[in-house]
Amino acid sequence: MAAKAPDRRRNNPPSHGTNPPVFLSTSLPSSTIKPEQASRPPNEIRKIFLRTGLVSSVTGSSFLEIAPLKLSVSVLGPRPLPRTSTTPFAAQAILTTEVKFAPFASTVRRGYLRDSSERDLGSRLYQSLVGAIRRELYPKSRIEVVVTILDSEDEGDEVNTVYMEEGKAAFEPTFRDAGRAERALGVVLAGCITAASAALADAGIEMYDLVSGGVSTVLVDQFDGKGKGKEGDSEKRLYVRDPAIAPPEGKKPLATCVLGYMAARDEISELWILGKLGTKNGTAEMEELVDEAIAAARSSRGVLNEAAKERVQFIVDKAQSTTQTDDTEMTG
Amino acid sequence: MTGTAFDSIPTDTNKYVYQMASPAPMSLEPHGHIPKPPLTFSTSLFRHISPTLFLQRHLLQNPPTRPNGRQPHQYRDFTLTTNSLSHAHGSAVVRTGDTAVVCGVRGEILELAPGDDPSRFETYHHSSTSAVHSYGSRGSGGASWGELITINVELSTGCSKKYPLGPPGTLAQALSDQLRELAVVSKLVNLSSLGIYNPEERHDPTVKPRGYWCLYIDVLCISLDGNLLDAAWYAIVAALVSAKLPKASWSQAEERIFCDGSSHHPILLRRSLPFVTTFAVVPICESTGMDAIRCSGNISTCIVLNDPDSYEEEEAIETLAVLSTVVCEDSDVDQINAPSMRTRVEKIEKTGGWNLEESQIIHCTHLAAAKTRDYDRVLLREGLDAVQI
Repeated sequence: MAAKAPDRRRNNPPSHGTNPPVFLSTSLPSSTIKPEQASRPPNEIRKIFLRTGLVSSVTGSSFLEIAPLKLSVSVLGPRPLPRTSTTPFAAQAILTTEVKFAPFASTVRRGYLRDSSERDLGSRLYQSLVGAIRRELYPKSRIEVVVTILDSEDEGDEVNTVYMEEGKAAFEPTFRDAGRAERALGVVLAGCITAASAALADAGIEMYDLVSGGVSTVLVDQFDGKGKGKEGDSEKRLYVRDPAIAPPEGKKPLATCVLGYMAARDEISELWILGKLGTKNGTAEMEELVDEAIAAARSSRGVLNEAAKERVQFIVDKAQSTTQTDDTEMTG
Repeated sequence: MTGTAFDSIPTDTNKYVYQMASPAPMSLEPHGHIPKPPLTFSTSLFRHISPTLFLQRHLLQNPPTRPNGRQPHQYRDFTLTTNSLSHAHGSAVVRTGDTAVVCGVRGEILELAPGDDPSRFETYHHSSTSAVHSYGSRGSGGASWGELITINVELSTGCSKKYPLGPPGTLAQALSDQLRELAVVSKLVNLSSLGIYNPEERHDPTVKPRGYWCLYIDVLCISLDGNLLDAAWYAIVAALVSAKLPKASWSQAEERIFCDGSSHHPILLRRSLPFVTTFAVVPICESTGMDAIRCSGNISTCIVLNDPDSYEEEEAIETLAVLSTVVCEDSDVDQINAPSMRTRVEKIEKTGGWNLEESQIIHCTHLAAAKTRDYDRVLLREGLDAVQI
């Protein structure tokens, strides 16, 4: 981190600039690489913790936890657009989405300024939600969705590990697979979609359907070296729902699909496929991958429904208890 | 929702009248008619229309009760969870009432150039008044690069609808500065313990460190309902206590600093940890009616509220923050729960007017001491006393 101009609005580190810690591969405890995937069947998603209404001073909020991923969503609004001469007339509500990683949410510290990947996540989240909200019911107003990611699963310590070869450190970092960072973002996006629609429901904003996020990855067997350059047709494809970032032993990820899915309407509001998938066999592989992601989204939809139901129950109970005791309507 | 005595006499056990100060009924009808009943509201509406009076009427009850049901000296229950984040070196989640903060401590390595003077980093730079400090730190010309401990507060997380999104506003900047100042004043971290040495030279006490651990302390407010300072500071202290940095050492062969993931570099904190307690002072006007609404009558007394929520913060005319610590000697370790543990005040910061009396300030320091003991106890219950010196 070279010393750029300091951020006037924040406290800054010493002007020398600091570097993230660099590990020697010989010193890393073996526990840092966890084969989490093995214990879970490929068609099962991880446990999801979803709770709404934890932030009292905003219209709607939710907190989601899937293994290491922890994020909090706040929905502000619908509230009137600022009255300035430049504000255009809006017949439909204006939706804004912001996604921000906490500085301590990833292996390498992120700054406070939004970087390109955060902006990208924000726009994808916008795409997946905007069609589901009945925006025409809220004219001249805006709805803000703010996602704060507190913890996430990403590249892991590989990024800042120097591998020792014959007593001499090799300074080129070696990655096991290149698409790792993108895949990590995909998993985060799926979580953001699910949590954001829970928060929108908590805010009481009318929607056509709840949007749930789903991820799937297709894996192939990994070959040693470059001997078998041609990717044979006989390779067995393994489709995994809600994949962990580290691929299981001996497998190599080919492509990942992330989507936002409205289960009741059977509509996909956002589709993001990354990686390479051949078209030699037609689009069958692609379809299979998307189907798996839809299945993952259906599973997380179950959690979403429960969270929404829980909240409605809570509000109904509260309303009933206050009408019984709180008779403060008064005259004089 | 019981026991809220407003302007007039209760007509029923839970029916109260709030009368706008209008001795003559606002009616255009000729004199002699039966006056119209005064304007009445439900309590929740009253709270929105006249928040000052609403709070005062609550506090004039016997015993004084705040709108949230607490006694004036009572603070909200707080919960602490440490090390729940996977990437931070140390972390703490603190929740007091509806205020929730997450603090992450993360170490990065500062490598010293050959000509650097390490003593610059090993001392806290005192800036006695905040005016001087703000000039030096954020002013137009001054160097605004900081020290090894970098504390920042982020509020643009949708934590409250009152706080706008975007770059940090006045409140976030002021809080970051306040927390930084608290860390400097209390000398929370032993800065020389952050030095990174060449292990072959370590036995020589005169040798200079090759680099330092620079601690980034980021506090994210997830939910904001008043008294962020207490929660943020507590989270910072707990996260620092729980932090485990990897062992770092200078490698002569590679001429750079490497870390060893299998052992830890201890962060040495002060022996007795300091905690801050904030109070809000709200005025009580004896006058009634419109005078009270405008608060233009004489402020006859004021009431000190411990751990104010955001509603009370808005009504406060003065705030008082007390930094205090539990003094603990070696022999005390067994009796850590003893209520008679001695506490020491390290800093008092008061802003606002002149209504607070001396006796009230002394009373506040006692309340702060009680809360400090509680903070200390919860922190110890988490089993985090391992790295204190």
